[in-house]
Amino acid sequence: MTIAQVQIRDRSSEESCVADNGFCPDWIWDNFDRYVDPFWDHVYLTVVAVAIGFLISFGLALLAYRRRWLVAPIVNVTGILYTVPSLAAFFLLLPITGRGTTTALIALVAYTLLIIFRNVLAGLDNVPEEAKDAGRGMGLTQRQLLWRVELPLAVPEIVAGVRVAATTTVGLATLAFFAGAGGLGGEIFADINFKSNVVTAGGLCVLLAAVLDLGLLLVQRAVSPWSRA
Amino acid sequence: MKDFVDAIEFIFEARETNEGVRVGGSQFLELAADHMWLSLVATVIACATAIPLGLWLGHVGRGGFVAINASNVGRAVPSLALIAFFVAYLGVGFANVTLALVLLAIPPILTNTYVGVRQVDRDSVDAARGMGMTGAQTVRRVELPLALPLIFGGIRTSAVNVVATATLAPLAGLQSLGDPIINVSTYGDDGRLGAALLVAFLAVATELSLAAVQRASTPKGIRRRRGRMKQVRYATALIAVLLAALALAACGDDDDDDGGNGDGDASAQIERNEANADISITVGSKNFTEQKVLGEIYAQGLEAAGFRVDKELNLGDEKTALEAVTGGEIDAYPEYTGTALLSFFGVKANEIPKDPAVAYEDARAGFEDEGLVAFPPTPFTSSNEVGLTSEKAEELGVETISDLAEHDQDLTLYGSPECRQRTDCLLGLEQVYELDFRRFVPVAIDLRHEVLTSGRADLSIVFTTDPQIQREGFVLLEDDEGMFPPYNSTLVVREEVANEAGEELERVLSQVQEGLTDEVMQELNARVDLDKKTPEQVGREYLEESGLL
Repeated sequence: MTIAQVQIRDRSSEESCVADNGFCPDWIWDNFDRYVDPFWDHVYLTVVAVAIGFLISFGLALLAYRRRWLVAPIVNVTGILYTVPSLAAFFLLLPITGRGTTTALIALVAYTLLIIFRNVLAGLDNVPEEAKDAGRGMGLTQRQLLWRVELPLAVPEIVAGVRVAATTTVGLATLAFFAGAGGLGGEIFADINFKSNVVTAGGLCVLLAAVLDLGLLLVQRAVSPWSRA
Repeated sequence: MKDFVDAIEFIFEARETNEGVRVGGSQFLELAADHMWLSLVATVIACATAIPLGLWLGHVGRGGFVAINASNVGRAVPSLALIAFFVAYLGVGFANVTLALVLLAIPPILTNTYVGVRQVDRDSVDAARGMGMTGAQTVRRVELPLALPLIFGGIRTSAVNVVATATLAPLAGLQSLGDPIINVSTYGDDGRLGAALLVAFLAVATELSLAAVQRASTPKGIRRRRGRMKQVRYATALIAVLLAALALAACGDDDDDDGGNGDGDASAQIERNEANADISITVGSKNFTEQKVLGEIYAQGLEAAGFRVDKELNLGDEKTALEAVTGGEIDAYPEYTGTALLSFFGVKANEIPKDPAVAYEDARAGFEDEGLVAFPPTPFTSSNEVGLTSEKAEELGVETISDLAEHDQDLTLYGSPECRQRTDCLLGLEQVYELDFRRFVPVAIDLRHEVLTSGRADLSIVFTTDPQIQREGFVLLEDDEGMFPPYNSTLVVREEVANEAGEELERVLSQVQEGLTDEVMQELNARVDLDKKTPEQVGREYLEESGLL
C-alpha cells in the first residue's frame, strides 16, 4: 500500500510578514489559540503560588508579631529562599519532587514568602498606637484588637506586598516550563526568534501582571474603604 | 541525597563525557567566571546609569512618578521575555545580553536612589545650603551619603537578579552557568544539578556580600540599632528549605487530561480497531519542532487506530525524555538512532555505524536492555550538516568538508552550545577533518540559520531536514569522511505497552512512517518553523494529505 504524497511547497521566493519574521498582527490573530492554554497554566501557577505563599507568610507574620524573636530566623530563611534564583531552584528540587507543577509551585511559593512576610509585619508595626489604645479602651481583647483594628489598618501594606509578589511571580512563572509545568515561558522558548511569538507571549505576561496588580488594588479598596480619602 | 553528592563531586572534579571532553571541575570554574563577569559588567553599567540619574531626579525633586514606577514596570516584564525580545529584535551576542541585563538592573537602583535622596531630611539639605554649599556639593556631601544605604539596597536587589538571569545567557549565545542547565545532554543530570547549586550559591554569596557592603556604607550617624538578626546560621536555614520541599513533595503530581477521540474515516486509511480502546498510550517528544511534529503524527495516528492517546510533547532534551519513558511517565517517544547510540549507550561518535540499518539494530539492542522496544525507523534521517550560504560556498569554492582545510583559519563556525563537546560536531570536525577554525561561537539551537543569513557566521551546524536550507538556498557540505552518524527516528516504546499493543502498533507505525522521507519531513518542519503553524495542525495535515485520516 502506498500513501499519497504530501504537497511540498517552494518557499524560496516567498514574501510574507511571517516569512520575514516581522511583527504580524494577522498571524497573531489566527494563532491566538495556541496561547490560551499556556496562559491559563500561567494564571494557575501565579494565583496558586501567591495564594499559598500568602497563607504561609501571613501565618508566620502573625506568629512573629507577638514573638519578636521569631522575626530574625524567619527573615533569614525566607531571605535565602528569595535569593536562590528560581531557575536553579527548579533543578535543585527535581531530584526531590520530580518534574511537574508541584516542583514549580514550591519554588514560586518560596519566592513570595519574604516579600509578603515583611509587608504584613511592617503593616502591623505601623498601626498608630492611638488606634490600638482606642481599641483597648473599648474593651477589645488582644485577639479582637488584632482582627478588628490592627489587621484592617495594615491592609494597604499587606496588599502592597501581595501585589509585588504577584507581579514577580508572573515573571518567574515564565521559567516554570523548565520544571515541566507549562506556562507562557514555554511558548516564548519554543520560538525565541519569531518576533510575533515573543511579543505575544511576553505581552500576555505583562498583561497578566498588570491585571493582577490592578485587581489586587481594587481588592484593597474594597476591604479598606476608609483609606480611600 | 545521592544526587546532590554526585552533583557536588561534579563541581570539584572534572570528568570525561562519552565524546571524550572534560566537563566539570575547572571547566565549571570557567563558566562561573564568565557568569560573574557578565553579571558584574551589567551591574556596573546599570549603576553608572541609574545612580546619577536618580541623584539628579531626587535632587531637583522631579520625575518621581517615573523613578518610582520604573521598578513596578520592570518587575512585570519577565526576564525570559526580555532576553527573548532582545534575541528576536537585535540578535545574539555579549552586547545584547549585557544590555538586556542592564535594563533589568536599572529600575531597582533608580527607584532606590530617588527615594533615598527624597527621604533625606529637608532640614539637613537646608542646613547644607545655609553653610554655603553649592547644589553639587549638597548632592555629594549630604544627599548621597544619607541615601547610600538605600542605594546599596537597590544594587543588591539588582545584582542578585542579574546573577539569576545570567543563567539564561546561553539562549542568546553566551556561556554562563546556565549552559549545563540548558544543555543537559552534554553535562548530564549531575552537571545540571551542580550548576544549579553553583548558581544558587553565587546568588546567595552576592546577596550576603552586598548586604555587608551596605551595612559598612551606612554613615555612623544614621546607623540604626537593629536586632542582631543577621547572625542566624545559614545551615539551619538550608535544612529548613529542604524539609519544606520534602513536605510539599508529598502533595503529588497532577495529571493531564486525555486527548479525545479521533473519528477515523471509513476510507482505506488507518483502520480503527475497537479492541485498542482498552490500551492507553502516552506519547512524548523532545522539545524541538521535528520531535513535536513526529509526536503529533504518532499520537494522532494511534488515536485514529482506536488507542486512547495522551500527549506529553515538549519534554526537554533526550535525557529527560529517556527518563520519562523508563520511569513510565510516558509510554513512547521518537528518538534518533545516532543520538541514542551516542548519548545513551556510550558509543563513541567515530564508532557509530554508517549504515542506517546497522545503527538501528545497535540502538534497538541498547534500548532492549533498558526495557524499551525500538520500532523500525523512519525513512528520513536528520543528521548534522555543515551549512553555509551559497555566496560563501562560491567565494571559498568548497563542496566538501575536506575542502575547508584551506580556509579554516579564517572561518567562524556557529553551533549549539553542546556542539563544542560532541564528536559529531565541532570536536569531530577538529579530530576527523583536522580543522582548526578561527572561532567557534555557541548559540541557541534556534538561531542556527539566522547566524548565516545575518552574516555573523561563515559556517553553521544545521540539520538535514531544516526547512530554512531550501528557502535560504544554503549549501550543505558533503561529509566526505562519513563523520556524521545516521539519525533516523525510531519510536521507542515501553516493553509493557509494546507487548500489549505490539502488532497493532507496528501496523499503525509502518503506515504512518512510510511517507516520512527527507523532503516530506523538511516540508513538515517548514510548516511549523516558517509558516508558524502548530505541530498539532501539521501532524493532522500530514495524515490527511497522505490519505491516512
